[in-house]
Amino acid sequence: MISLKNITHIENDDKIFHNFSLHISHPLVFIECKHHAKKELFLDLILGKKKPTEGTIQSNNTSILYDHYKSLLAYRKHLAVFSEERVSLLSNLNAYENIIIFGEYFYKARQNNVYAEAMNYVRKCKVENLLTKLPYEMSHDEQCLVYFIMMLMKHPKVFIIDFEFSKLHLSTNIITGIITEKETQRCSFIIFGNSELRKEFHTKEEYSF
Amino acid sequence: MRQFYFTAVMATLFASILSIFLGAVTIFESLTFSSHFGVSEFVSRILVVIIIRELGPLFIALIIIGRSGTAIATELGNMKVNGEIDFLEDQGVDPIDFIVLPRVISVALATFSLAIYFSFIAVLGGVFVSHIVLSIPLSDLIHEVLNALYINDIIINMAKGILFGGTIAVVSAFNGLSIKRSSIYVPQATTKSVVEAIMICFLIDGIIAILTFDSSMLEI
Repeated sequence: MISLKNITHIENDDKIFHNFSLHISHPLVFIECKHHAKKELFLDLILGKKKPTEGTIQSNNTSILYDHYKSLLAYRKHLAVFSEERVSLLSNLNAYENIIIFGEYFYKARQNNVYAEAMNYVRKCKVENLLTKLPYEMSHDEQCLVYFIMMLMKHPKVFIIDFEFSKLHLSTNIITGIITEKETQRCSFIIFGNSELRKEFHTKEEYSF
Repeated sequence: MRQFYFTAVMATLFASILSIFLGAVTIFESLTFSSHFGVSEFVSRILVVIIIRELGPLFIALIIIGRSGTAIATELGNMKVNGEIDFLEDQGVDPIDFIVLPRVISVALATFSLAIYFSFIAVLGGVFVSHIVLSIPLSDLIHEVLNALYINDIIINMAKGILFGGTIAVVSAFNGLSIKRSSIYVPQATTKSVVEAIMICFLIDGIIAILTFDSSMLEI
């Protein structure tokens, strides 16, 4: 699991985090946050894209090796980040190819299951009609759902979801349903959201910043 | 597979037309040269050396640089600009393994296949054109070409195909991936990859020519 120990981060002389610690060991952690709460910076720190000024980030009791590219990539393999701002699909592949190529990359040994699993998520997310579409032919919401399936195909140990959608949004209901189902499958979820969304999840641990 | 299809299969028609012209021109020039200097017994050997060892792989390299090298540099450059490379790295995916390596293998195999195909069609084209225009019996021409062909010529042709293809893909991918995140750098990366790939391919060709130089030919 991931733990942030005594993180202090200073950017442009602004102290953004001060002695912040977080240990993620529960299946579902909800972080209620306000606007401009520096979530993107938090995600960059967790992904190892930025090094905190002080403190350590550990995964399974091993600190992130910022200077070792392969180790950093190996660490990120176990993480999935779903944030509207980070949605990115491979532009020359259609939705189905994006999902499958991701599944095949992360599950080389179990290729036969990839197709069935992908189609299962496709049905749950109701994106059957998007499979042959290229990213530029899809709306942002549609791209978000395809991206969400790609993240699920990674089988991450920690799945960080930043909910920008409103509670009534169709994607929120679909994603919430899948999270509830996946909770039992050795995957920890860290969910960023507002107080309205918090009621949707039966969390064991809650934070706010 | 898509890269191989684009690089090899879709270039076949262009390569075929070019190879027939090259074969015809080479055999005509060789025959003119040999009739002037009275060395007609070397015409087939000259044809084999020029087409199979040198011009076949080089022409294919130039075609691949123009078609696939530019496509790879532009595609990867745009992926970098669009943040797709960063996205892959965020997911723990090494872009070299995921994007570059399959392209290098595909382009190397495609160049290898096209170099063999090009050389075969060029020699065949030259033989047929000679037969039609100069009325030399077809069987004599084929016999002479086969006699002049050594296993080393085929090995060199194949080796050049793989080396040129791999070089083109690596140079194009490197230039595409090394740009900054702005679309203005994409055309620059493409042009740079063409120039560098041509230079490196000619350099490799020169090195192979020196390494495989047969000094016994000087005595003749």
